[in-house]
Amino acid sequence: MMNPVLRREAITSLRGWKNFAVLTFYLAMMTIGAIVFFYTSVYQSYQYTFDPQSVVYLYVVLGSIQMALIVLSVPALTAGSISGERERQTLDLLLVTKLSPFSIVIGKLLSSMAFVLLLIISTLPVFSIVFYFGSVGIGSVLTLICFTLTTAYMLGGVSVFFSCIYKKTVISIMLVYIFTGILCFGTLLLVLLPMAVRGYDQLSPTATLIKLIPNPGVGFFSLMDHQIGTNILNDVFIQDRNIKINPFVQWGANNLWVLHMIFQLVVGSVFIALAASLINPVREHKQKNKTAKTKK
Amino acid sequence: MLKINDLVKNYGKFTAVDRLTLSVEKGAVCGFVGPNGAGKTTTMRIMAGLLNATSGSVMIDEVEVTKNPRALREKIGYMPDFFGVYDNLKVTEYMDFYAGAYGISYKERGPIIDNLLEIVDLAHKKDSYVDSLSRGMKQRLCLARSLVHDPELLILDEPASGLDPRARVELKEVLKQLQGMGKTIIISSHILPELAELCTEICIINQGKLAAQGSVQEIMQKLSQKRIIHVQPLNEMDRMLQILKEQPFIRSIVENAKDAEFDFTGTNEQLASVLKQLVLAEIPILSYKEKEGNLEEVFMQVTGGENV
Repeated sequence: MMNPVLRREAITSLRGWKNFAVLTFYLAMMTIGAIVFFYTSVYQSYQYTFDPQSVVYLYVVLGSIQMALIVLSVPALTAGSISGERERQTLDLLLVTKLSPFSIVIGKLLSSMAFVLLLIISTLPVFSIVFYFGSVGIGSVLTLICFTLTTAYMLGGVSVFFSCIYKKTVISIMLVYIFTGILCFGTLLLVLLPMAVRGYDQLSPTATLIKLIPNPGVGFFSLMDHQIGTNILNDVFIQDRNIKINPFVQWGANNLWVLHMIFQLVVGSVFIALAASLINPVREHKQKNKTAKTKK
Repeated sequence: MLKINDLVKNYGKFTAVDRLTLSVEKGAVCGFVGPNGAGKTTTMRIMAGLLNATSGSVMIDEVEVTKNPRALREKIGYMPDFFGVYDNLKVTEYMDFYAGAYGISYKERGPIIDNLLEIVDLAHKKDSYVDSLSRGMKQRLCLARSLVHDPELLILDEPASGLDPRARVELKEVLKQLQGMGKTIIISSHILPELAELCTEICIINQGKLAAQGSVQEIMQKLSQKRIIHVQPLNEMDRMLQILKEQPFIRSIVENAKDAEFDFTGTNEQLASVLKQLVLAEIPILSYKEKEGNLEEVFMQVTGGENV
């Protein structure tokens, strides 16, 4: 039987104007991105011609816009999932049903993920421009979709978690953006500060790689780097070093995006479990019972 | 059906429920009465498994609510005092959603929903959006929602609050119907006369403690300081008053044109003895009955005059 929360969200969200507005805005941004790319490609060349080989960079541009839009839209779509139920005074009605807190959280998350999938699928016609010129294969686009979905999963999990803690949706959204900012810029600072103090050559490649695994920006860059074959990260971690590189770094330098996807899945799952625990009304009692038993 | 034993709920230093002990038999309709902040909603939320007790226990069918909350949720239908509805959802979809949440299969849902909408008189609104319903209709819909899994115990927190008199009467009719179906109902309300009519027993709760429990009559008898007896003779009023004045347990007598009322402090046997003396004195008695007390008066007396 389909998760009732997911089923209801699917019915209600498609009846409202909000999701249609988001979808329209999303497609408009992607289309504008493609148009601007073609415009600058043609008018920045000496002969006002278009080089079909440069379409591979259109793929990067579209992928980047897609990632940015997903990072911005997922918290807005998901951060009100539980706080919205509280605001509407419907959470108690849900909690007294046979649905487990985990089912409620998963239903909420899946409904957001389904919409994200709808957004991604709706942009496939824009991505088909890239297929037309034959620069990127369908496998690469599918990998990009998986990467985007894991990002949406992590951010969705974090958003639902904050939504369980804070009554106001706006606060939850802000906290998810702060969390994403810390992942993007905080981890970069962790690499850049020691580099500024000790110098690039003194940095441990293993430690640097580990510090960059949580960074969505670097993860996405690594995927693009891998798919279009620029191998920039490989040069940064391996080629430009005079030290012996361990096999983990050798593999990780080319596959940082895989490590990042694993990180996103783990972090997303942890936050979902925490969210389910937070809305469970009998959680506190179980803990008390355990404490009491331990004391005995 | 329901046993609450030494229930305590603290919010920091504030004690909302203070060693509350009560029991409700199967099939009973128990009115939960108390002033604002007495601990009614807190107790009901603990019963519904939405809140943890600080100490004590709530047993439903001999099973502690926190031990197996999911299994007990099948037995409990809960209607909170304040609740919202979802936008863009029709009445049947709303019911279908909660039926799904209670694990009812797609095939079974249709007849159940139709039947419940008939009971709460919302069948004609099945294709309307929930958001467009009046307050009274939403209350009845929420009641239907709480019945979707056919629970044995219904916990209704202020179901009539904010309703106009007509909607209250309609809700009362639905509750009577549920009572006839053998459901155990625990209902909190501020409208005391309605509770008196509907409930088989009343629990008066004050400052988190049980102040009184029993049938309406029992509570009246137990807590009323006065027993006013109304007596109407066919004639010979003066002789009747003379006999009454001689009785040791009668404190005061109010004489009216055709009848009289006296304040009686004795037992039922002594009250019967007074009637016997009147009859033996050959005074024709048309009516001899205890005047029904006012539940609200009793409530104010028990709760120290706090507002409901």
